[in-house]
Amino acid sequence: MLPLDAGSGTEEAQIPTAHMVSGRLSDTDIANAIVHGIRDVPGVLDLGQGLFARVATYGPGKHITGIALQHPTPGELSVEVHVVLDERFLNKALSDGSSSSDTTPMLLRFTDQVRAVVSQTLEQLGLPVPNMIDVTIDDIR
Amino acid sequence: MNVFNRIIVILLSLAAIAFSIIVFLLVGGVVRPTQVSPGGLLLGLWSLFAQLNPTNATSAVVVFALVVIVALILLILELNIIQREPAQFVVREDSLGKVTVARSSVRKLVGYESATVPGVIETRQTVDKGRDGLRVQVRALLLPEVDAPAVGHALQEKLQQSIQGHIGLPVAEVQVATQLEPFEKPRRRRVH
Repeated sequence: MLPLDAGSGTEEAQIPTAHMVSGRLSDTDIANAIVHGIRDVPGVLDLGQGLFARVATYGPGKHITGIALQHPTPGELSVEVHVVLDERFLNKALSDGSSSSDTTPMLLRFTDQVRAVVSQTLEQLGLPVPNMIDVTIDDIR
Repeated sequence: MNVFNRIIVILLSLAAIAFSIIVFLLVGGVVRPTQVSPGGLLLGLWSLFAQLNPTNATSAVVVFALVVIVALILLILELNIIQREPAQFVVREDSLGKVTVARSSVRKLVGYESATVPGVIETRQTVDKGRDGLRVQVRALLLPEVDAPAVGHALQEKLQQSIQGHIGLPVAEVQVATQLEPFEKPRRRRVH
């Protein structure tokens, strides 16, 4: 069972039945769960705000920053994730990178992890795997 | 200025130019007020301009010429802003989605990597997108005792490998300028 508090910067949200829409999770609940999963990915310092406009999932009286959910067609879901990369993690990865035998760029390994967590979170919520997961590194701090 | 405000400024500028052109045509007697008033819209206003005496007509032309100039300047500025370098770079785009990184993040990474090169004290860097890949320009403050060309060359190689290897973006060129004088610090404003 996934805990569904997103931590600072977002409003607390549990998943009681009141938050379910016709027996399904609302977008803010889904975004909240994704935020919680992403925060555990090594290197994620925080969720990003977006580069051009604020990226968030809006619900009644609350919003989840850094995650935007879209429904291209009913039953389909695409996810946009904005993250801030931890400077210490980056520096460590850069120093370890030269000795690593993996040829995949460090940044792509990191974003692959983020994507995997998003897919895993949705799977645990009983939702279909999203057809698109866009990941943006907004900043390094 | 956000996108919404930019669009408002662009629309207002276009409206000001269109309005001014109509005034020029009316004052010059090229068109009649009824021809530019579909459904009687602004007919009274257009008639006022059409009936101006020569002195007032000259003043109106001068004023609206200035309006056109200001509107054109605003348009050029806004459209130029829209066409600026992207604030982010697409690292990968596939069937699973898109991976993008902010330009500021790439710039920071260049800074971190530069700092690891022996002999480099501090750097200032810019990153732009060229046709064949990223164009990186670095100004590096070096220790006085180091061999500047050698450090500059090491910096070039390190940055090229690092950006391609760690971010996955192709690098077209890395320009390095070395210096021994400290960078200018931003001046503080005196508060009275």
